[in-house]
Amino acid sequence: MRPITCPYCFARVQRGDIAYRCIGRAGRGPGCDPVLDKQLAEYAGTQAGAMLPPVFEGRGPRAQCPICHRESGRRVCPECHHELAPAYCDTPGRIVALVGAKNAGKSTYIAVLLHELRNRVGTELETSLVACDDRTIERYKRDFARPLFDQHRLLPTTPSAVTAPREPLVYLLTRTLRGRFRTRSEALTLVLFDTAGEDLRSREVRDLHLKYLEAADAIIFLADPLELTAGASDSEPLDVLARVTEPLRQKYGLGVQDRLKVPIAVALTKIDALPLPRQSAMHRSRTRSGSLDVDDREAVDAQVRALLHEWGSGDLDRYLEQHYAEHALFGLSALGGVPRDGQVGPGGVRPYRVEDPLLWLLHLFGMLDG
Amino acid sequence: MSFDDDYKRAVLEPARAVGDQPPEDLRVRYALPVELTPAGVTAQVKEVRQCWRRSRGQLKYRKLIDRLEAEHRALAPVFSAAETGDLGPLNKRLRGGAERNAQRRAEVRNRLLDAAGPLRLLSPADLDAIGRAGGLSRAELQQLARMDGVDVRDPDPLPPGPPYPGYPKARESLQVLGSRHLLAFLLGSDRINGIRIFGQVTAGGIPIDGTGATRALERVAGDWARRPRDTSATHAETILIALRSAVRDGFLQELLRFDFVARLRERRAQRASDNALMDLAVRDLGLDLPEARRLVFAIGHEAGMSAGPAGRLRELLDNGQAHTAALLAENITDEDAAEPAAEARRRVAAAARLLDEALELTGRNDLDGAWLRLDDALKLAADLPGAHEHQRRLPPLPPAGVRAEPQDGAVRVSWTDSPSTAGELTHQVIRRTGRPPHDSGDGHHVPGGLDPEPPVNVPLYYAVVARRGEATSEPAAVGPLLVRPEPGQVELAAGDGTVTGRWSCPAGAARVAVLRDGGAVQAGREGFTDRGVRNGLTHHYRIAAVYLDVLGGEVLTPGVLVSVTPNALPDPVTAFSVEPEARDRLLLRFADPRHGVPEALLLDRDPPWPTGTIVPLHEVLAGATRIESAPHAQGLVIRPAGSGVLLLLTVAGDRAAIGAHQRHVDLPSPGGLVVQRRGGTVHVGFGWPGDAASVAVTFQIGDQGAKRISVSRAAYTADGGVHLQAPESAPVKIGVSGIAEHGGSVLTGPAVSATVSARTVVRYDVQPSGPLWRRTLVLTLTSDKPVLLRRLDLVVRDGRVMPQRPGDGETLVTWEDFDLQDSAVLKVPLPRRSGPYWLRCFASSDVELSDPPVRRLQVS
Repeated sequence: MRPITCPYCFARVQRGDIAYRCIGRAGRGPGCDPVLDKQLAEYAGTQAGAMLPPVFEGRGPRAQCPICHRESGRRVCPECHHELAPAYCDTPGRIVALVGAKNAGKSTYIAVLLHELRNRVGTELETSLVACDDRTIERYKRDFARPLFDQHRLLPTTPSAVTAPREPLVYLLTRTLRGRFRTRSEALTLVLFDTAGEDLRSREVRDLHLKYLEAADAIIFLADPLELTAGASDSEPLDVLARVTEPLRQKYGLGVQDRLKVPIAVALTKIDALPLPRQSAMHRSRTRSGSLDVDDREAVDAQVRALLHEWGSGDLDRYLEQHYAEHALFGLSALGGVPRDGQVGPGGVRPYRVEDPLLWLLHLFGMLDG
Repeated sequence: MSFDDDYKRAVLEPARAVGDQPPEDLRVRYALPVELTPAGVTAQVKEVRQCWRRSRGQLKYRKLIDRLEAEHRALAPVFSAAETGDLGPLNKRLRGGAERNAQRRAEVRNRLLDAAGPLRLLSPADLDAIGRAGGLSRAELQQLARMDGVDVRDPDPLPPGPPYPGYPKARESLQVLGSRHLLAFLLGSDRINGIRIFGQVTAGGIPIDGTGATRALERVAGDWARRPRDTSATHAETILIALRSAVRDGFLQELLRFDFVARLRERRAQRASDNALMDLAVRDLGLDLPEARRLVFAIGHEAGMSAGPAGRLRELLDNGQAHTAALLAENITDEDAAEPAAEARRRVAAAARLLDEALELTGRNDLDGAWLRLDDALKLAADLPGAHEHQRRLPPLPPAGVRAEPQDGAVRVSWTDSPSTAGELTHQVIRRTGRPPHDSGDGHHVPGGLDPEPPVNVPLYYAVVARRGEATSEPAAVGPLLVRPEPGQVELAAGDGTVTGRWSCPAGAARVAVLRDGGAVQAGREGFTDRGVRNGLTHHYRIAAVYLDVLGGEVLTPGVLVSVTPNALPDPVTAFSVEPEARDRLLLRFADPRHGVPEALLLDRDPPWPTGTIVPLHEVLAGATRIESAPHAQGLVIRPAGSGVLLLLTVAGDRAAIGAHQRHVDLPSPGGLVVQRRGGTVHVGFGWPGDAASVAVTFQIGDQGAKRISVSRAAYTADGGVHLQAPESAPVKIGVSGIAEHGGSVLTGPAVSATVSARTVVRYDVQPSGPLWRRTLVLTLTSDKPVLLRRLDLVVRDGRVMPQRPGDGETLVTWEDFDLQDSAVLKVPLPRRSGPYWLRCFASSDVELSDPPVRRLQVS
């Protein structure tokens, strides 16, 4: 069986090496007392919440604690001791990483994409989206859903990981595929790790980010089209993309002619603010058929490529062509309108084509017909 | 030696020695043999009990024998069993004897530790008492005490009283100056520690002998002499006098020692714990730790007053009855009483001197000085004949600056306190009519200086006296003062050409005068009606009370000033309609009232008054919210901040006419309506209207009938707006309005609408065709309806990038004014180009061209 990747510390773990955490003592009954889990505390950067029953080795869906002899089904990563969802251990799926320059709208994209996967897109594709841990549920509600959808406030700029350690949001997107002879489920692990390109310059966080990118089965790269013409030194999408690509090339020891095999979806955000040509495919909604509309996909790809060249950013397209075997261009709008004074526009959040990159990846992974 | 003698020596005597405590070991108590047999045990017990009975005749054994007999009754079953041959209970009991001994020893040890307390000190008497109570010998107890680090010693004798009669005054001065104690003052530092007081007094190992003390005293006196003279210097002088007397008369050691003892005694009297006393002694007073232990231990063992004449004298002295003590001492020859007797005589002599001085000062009219001397004398001898009586008769100086001011019908008296500083002073205010009070009993007492109900319209005099004990000063008087209250509860109401007023006329007033703008108005005793006023003009009224003076003339008070503006009664607005004016504003359309200004209010419920009622404005406003409004040619434009009942008032002055009312649900028109055509879908977005539960979206596609869907807020958020399926070739009219339920009926708010125009969509496809040597490009055009294409360009662009507009590439062919009926096929030669290129058609702006899949447009 192929090893799985811990979606928290991104260590690759053989299935047989997955550890267990004792279920501990219930009331006055038998069971192990909590102890300080140093690995978990080191991963989390704090001892808060790290006083837990001990971790032990075992096999199978449940294993017996060698100390208190109680059976436990709580599986944890043997490296960081973070709890792994049973569904993830059984069907580890694929990891999709999210990268983007500062102010590209990553947090907003995360919030809206998850909202769409739970609602319109989820209904269309017949998928279920489940958070893999309590922290993810809590953080999504507190930091994303409540301010954006309930209070209609724009999300604040995410602080650099150098100053504020980050945890990924980990979701399991499961789709039931009905074939002619049998029905099967495919899972996709969405590990949404808010990686700002500039963070890759910091030695402290580069290692974790690189592990994240190395573990990814696909990358969604967000770019603010307004930055493409502004030419800001830190946030120019090509520079950020290069900062992501070069360490990966070095890691895999690729030659000049070789291209990275990991597919990358490059999406221009905030397209609602752009004056698009009349005949643009991006003026039309995607047909909601539960499959990938390849014609639409190709039309949008060609349209965005044309826009890049028109804005003098054709080098981004050429860079993708040279370094990535699989790449595609997208245009989307998470809010659907221009925000004002820190507030979402009067019509609320009206996402447009935010799911397109994910549909393309699902199609590549064989989870979606085209 | 007989059995009895042996038994007494071996058992009874040791038991007596430890407080009549019978030995726990039954083998000892009953002198049992080593080998136990039923018969042997029975015989031995019988013999021992006979010995007990014989010994009980001796008084010294009686208590012990009684305890032995009492305990034997409890042991009877054990010996009964032994008599019947069962030695089991006895053996078991014998084995338990050692355990009980150990337990008893542990109990005694706990008692010993309790008694030793935190000081770990115990007197021999206490040790013996614990031993007797616990049944342990002294040797055993001393062993236990050594094990627990408890010292056994007698408490040190402590001086019962001060060796210097003026010690209390010196102590007061020390406190004022903030000095820790006499020794600290003498050595000029509060930081000295390691003080030892038993035997020779030492500080930090240096003895305080006569020579050293004299030098220290000179230095301290010199320091104080260099300072400016003030009250501190006076207190320092008091202490220096005490120290000089002690050095001169040789009781310095005793005085210094007593200073420490007195401070700890005071704290002990306040029930301070041993730990607190140790803390005081070591940290606050700077005593050496072992000395502090001894001192606290000794103070803890002071058993009140000594008995006999000396004790009685000490008791009298401590109670301040030095004169009685001196009289008693004259008839006492007891040696122990010599020291308190001498002290009594000294105190009486000093007090008598102070009394003489007081009498002399009284003669010189220095009453405060005399009072202080007598106070000092009474501290030395509280029962000194004549002192207390004389002090009670010394009055303080009178207060000054007395003022009396009327305040809302009351009179407040203020003054400057008596300049006397001696003793506890109080001040008393007296009021009298007609003339000033002669003394504190001459008039009506006014507590607190506030006379709440003074007599009206009569001359009043107030006096203030200072009181010290039973003596009062000369009265300081002020007056005469006339109190003439104004009319109370004055209320004026403006009507239509009328002003009415009412008030309460103060008692004592002859009448009430009303003046409007300076002219008199006819008024009764309790009110008036003035019909000589004009609507819209503000009139100023003065309502004054009129009193009669002693000659019978009228005197007017300054009066109460009130301004009112009479107005015509407001006309109610009996009907109005509500129309949306802007996104969040409404137009209330109504006919203008003849009198008054219309105003809109928002109420929680229907108003309790019928339309047309005239009510005070404040009464209506009490349960309502004023709505932001602006005048309009047709009525009022309002901006309600919520749902409720809209009430239209007409306001004139402080009165309002209740107008019509209507229920209102805050359903502003949805704001920021955005309608976008996205191919075959129309995206609709808008700001949620106020308190709407849902939104009605009405849409009409082309000529079809209008449809209406209801969208909840949750559905709107989940779907990211409203998405309507509509063909591009048809225009779409869209209207959005808020919906709310109110009182069982469905209310629909004002709607906003927008139209999406139809698009003429022309689809095209390009496909190469023909043989390789004569390739052509077949361009197929289709449309749902006939359309005239003003211009159609076929553009080619080299490379990977798709052209976006005609200028992005080379125009191969241009068709102008092309009449397209449903479909058409056009053929052009395929351009001969190397490398990949793009083909794309562009049309004039009146037509929407729909591209084929891009792979058809891209030629590689």
